[in-house]
Amino acid sequence: MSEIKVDTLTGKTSAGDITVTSEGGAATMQLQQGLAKAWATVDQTGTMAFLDSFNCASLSDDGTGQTTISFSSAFANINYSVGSTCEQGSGANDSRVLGRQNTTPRVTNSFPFFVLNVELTALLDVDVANTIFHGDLA
Amino acid sequence: MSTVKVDTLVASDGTSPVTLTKQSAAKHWCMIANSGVPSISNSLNASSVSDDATGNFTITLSSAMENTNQAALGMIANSAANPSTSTVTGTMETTTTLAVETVNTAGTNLDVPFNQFAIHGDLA
Repeated sequence: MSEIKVDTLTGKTSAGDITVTSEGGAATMQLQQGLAKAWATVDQTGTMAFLDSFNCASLSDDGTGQTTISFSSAFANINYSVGSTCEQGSGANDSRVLGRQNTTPRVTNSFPFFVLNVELTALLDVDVANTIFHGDLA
Repeated sequence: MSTVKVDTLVASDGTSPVTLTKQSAAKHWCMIANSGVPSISNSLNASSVSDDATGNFTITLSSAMENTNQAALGMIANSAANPSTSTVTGTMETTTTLAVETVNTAGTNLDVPFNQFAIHGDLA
């Protein structure tokens, strides 16, 4: 086994383009495209705070169950892809949905979201709101 | 600080995938707009999307996953309401297709404008 210890990998032909081989060897893909560009676990209860995060600069408390994450480095366009889930309490759980607040258009440098209790049709703060962002950084 | 400039990374045997310590890249992600006819706004490893019915579409990958036991996640947003009560399910029907269904809380299929997915796992 060989190993290269290095701090930074940069594409030779194009700085933002390094090709890697798939696990099965049948395909290649651009390394940078597959990396998550931001992720966060947020505690919305009490004083809202990051439990952990990457490429996230700050949070704003927009009301019960509503939070805006600001990114440290902005996306190149608004068509980034977001995945999410959330956790609350230790007992039996109601269905909960984490979605984007639609009161403002999508932007490249922040993402506002809400958590909804589907059974109660009510917004609520949760212990852990997880989000992950894929797309192109500026 | 050291920098390696390279176009392609492979294992030392010349063909196997290289190990990236503490890193795992997504093998697919996309943003799909759906106001009646789904279309890909931005993506990695997506070749097309087909309209199967209201609230139902199928994403086809350019490069196949190793098997259907991959981690697919998603989130949708309906600009008609805040908060949106729509939910989404995604099923890897084959190694190259992710079937998506979006519904409201009444269980009725509906098209929503923002559909976002990612797949983590192993490519073929």
